[in-house]
Amino acid sequence: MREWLKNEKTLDRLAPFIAVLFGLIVGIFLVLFTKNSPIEAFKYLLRGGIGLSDGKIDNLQKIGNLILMATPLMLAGLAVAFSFKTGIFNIGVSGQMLIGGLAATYFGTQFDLPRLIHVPVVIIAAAIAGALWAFIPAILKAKYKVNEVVTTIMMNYIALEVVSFFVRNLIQSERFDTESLRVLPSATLRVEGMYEFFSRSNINIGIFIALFMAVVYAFVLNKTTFGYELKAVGHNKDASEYAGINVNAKILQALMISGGIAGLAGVSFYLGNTDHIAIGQLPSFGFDGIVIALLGLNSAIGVVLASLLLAFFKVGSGAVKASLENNVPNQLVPTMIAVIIYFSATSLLFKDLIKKLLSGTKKGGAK
Amino acid sequence: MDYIIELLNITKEFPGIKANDNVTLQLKPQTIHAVLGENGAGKSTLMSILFGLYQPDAGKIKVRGKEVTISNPNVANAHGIGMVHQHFKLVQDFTVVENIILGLEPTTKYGTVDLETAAKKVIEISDNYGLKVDPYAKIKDISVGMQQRVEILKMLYRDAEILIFDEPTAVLTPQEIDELLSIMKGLIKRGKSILLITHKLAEIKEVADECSVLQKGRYIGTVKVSETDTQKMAEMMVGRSVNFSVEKTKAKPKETVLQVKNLTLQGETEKPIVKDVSFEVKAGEIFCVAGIEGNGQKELVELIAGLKQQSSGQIELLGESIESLSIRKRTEAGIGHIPEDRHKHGLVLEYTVEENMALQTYYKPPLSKYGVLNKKEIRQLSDALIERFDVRSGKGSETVARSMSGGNQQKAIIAREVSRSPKLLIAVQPTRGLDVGAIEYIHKELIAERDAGKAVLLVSLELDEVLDVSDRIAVIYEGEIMDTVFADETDAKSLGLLMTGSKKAGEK
Repeated sequence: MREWLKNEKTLDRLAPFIAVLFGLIVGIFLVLFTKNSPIEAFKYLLRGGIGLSDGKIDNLQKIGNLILMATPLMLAGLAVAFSFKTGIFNIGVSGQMLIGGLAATYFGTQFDLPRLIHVPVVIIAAAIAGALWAFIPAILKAKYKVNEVVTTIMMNYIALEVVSFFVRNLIQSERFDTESLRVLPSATLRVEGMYEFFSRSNINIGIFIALFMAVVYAFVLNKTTFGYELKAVGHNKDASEYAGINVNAKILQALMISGGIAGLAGVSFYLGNTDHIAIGQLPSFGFDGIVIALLGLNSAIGVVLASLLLAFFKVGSGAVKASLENNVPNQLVPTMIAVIIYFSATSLLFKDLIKKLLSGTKKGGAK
Repeated sequence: MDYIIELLNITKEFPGIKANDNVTLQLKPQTIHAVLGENGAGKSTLMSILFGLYQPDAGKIKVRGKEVTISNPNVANAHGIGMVHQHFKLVQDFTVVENIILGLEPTTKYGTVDLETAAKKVIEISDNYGLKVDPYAKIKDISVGMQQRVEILKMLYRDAEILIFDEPTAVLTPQEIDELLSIMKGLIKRGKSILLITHKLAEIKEVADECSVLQKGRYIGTVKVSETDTQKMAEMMVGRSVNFSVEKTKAKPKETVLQVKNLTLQGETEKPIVKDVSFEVKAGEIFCVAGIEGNGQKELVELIAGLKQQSSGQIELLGESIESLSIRKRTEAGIGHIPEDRHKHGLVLEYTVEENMALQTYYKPPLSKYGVLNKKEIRQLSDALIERFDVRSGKGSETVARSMSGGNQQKAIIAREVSRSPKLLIAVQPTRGLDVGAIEYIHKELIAERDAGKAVLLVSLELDEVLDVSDRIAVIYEGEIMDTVFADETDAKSLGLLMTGSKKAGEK
């Protein structure tokens, strides 16, 4: 056991779990502070998150909603993780999502196509639009070495205005000023069978896209020469150039692929979670994606698990708030998430702490 | 007082490795005591313990006969122990005096920094020890050798009695090395005591009084330098007999492999970095470009390898013009390149050994097919190279490159480049920072490549290496080839003159 714990890789993988544990502990204290029972709170969290009440799950709606919430989170997390793996900080996933969503909404409202064609069309349109939106910071970084953190953030706000312009001028809803038209039934990602199975949850095929992308993500980064090149450039541009890799092209491709995945997050949200795009709202998924990538250690399986966890907290928090006797502040779950982020970001500290504890007990044992 | 510093039976263990195993080191006052060992022998760990950066697991430290606990570098400073680090810790935009007083700035009665008094004291110390440092020069404007003197002054300003020099000559030119060694002698004459960490035997022979040898964390012994020779010390260090003289037969040059014609690289200033350079390297010879660092040899190699684009001139490999080809095309045309900076260019440090071994060939079968890596083939290749080139590391092919010693990192790069059997092997400073055993190995490998009919282009600053290994030598000065000579028809002195641009050989 001790040998197993001393292994660097094990420690790395353990860190997120410890971070979550700390988040829960802080949550317990916060609930106690509001003079509520943490056990009750946890019960309500489970009821809200997965629909568990009195030890059994009556219907699958809550689980459906959990997965629904996790879908764009997962794709946003993959988009961010992909950029991290290739040495780029794509902070513009929210903007790329918006543009992806805009393209998908446009194709989903303006064209009347058979369902089997329409759905792939909106998905591909979203991915391409997201990638193209990332092209601007990508070319600036590759060609002129402009820091992508700044440019991708700024592109978020530009995306917001672009969406506003196109929605108002091309696909304005007749009923609401701030919304686009609703997408045609032939283009929505929602399918009847899933809706029924999960007791009227809006869970949709987006989750399959997300899981598929997770598999592709792992395959490309771990198994292909392309992924090998991308990671090499991310780690060491000079050595990559020396080895004959076209560094600028790889930077361009890496950021555009990340943007493309973000575009998929956009289609899954605007054509799955909702059925229209609203103006003036920057989705928070881009920033949640950073949390998920961090917590999931940039691995495909880690991102999948982390997005499910985050979705669980987000979906379950409402029930906690509504059900506890004494008033619980809205900030309970965001605070817990913040604590988790904080502790995963400082996971290095824990690694050292664990190591110290282990070597300490070893010394004690020898005496 | 017999000893000013005593490290007695020091043991320090890191996970998986005993860095120091019962090591004893005793420094007599007013002497230079060398600590000799290969990379990874535990020299740095031992000094870090003395300087308070690590705590020993067992053993005692005595300063001036009294047992002490050195819990951090401030405690070490209080005991009069100062350290000149290998990588200087200086603020580039500050002047010499500003750097020296950093941390204990003297103030005037108005609370402002009293630079004048400080500068006076700096000049006084500087004159006293013959350091000749201008206190008002900015660090970024002075040479590396001068910067090192600033580091020394920093310690003297703080009244350090015991000075630790960590590989002080690694970054210096031959002239600067001579000057540093005489400064060190001056220091002990004026009452200081010095611990010199190094793996350069000639320097030990020149300045040190005693020498303690470490080998893989174990203490081998202490010898009086005057009673031993470099051969014996080298044997103690590597644990076997070492061959200093590079054994090689006379070169049998054949067809021209690399032909460089009128190559010029214009820099940002008027003066070209590489100026009208022409030479040829033949199969079966080692052609060396010698020169003091920063005279355009780095850029010359970058032009040949394709990392930079020339302003004018031609480069031909086996008669084919390559100057407009991409880096990869040149690699495929038959260039192997052991780069100067192995961390920056040679390796992806976050990658494992096997991933690094595949860095030049990953995109070709059998290592990959249809863009999918064949991990089994990569592992096979890597294991074979590790075996053949004796690359040592903790977990073999799975070791992360960053965690390997410098010598083994270099071996891994050599394995990768040599195993592709390139027509032209470019080696830039291939032995920089390596220990005797590794240097011997690399020299042998270069000569073996030559004897196998390859053309070898060596770039080196070390005169011994230049003279021992190469067959023909071109001396470069300010981007220009001063002269090209045969190695067996020249000597260190005339090369040294050429390297400083003084004269062309033959023009008396």
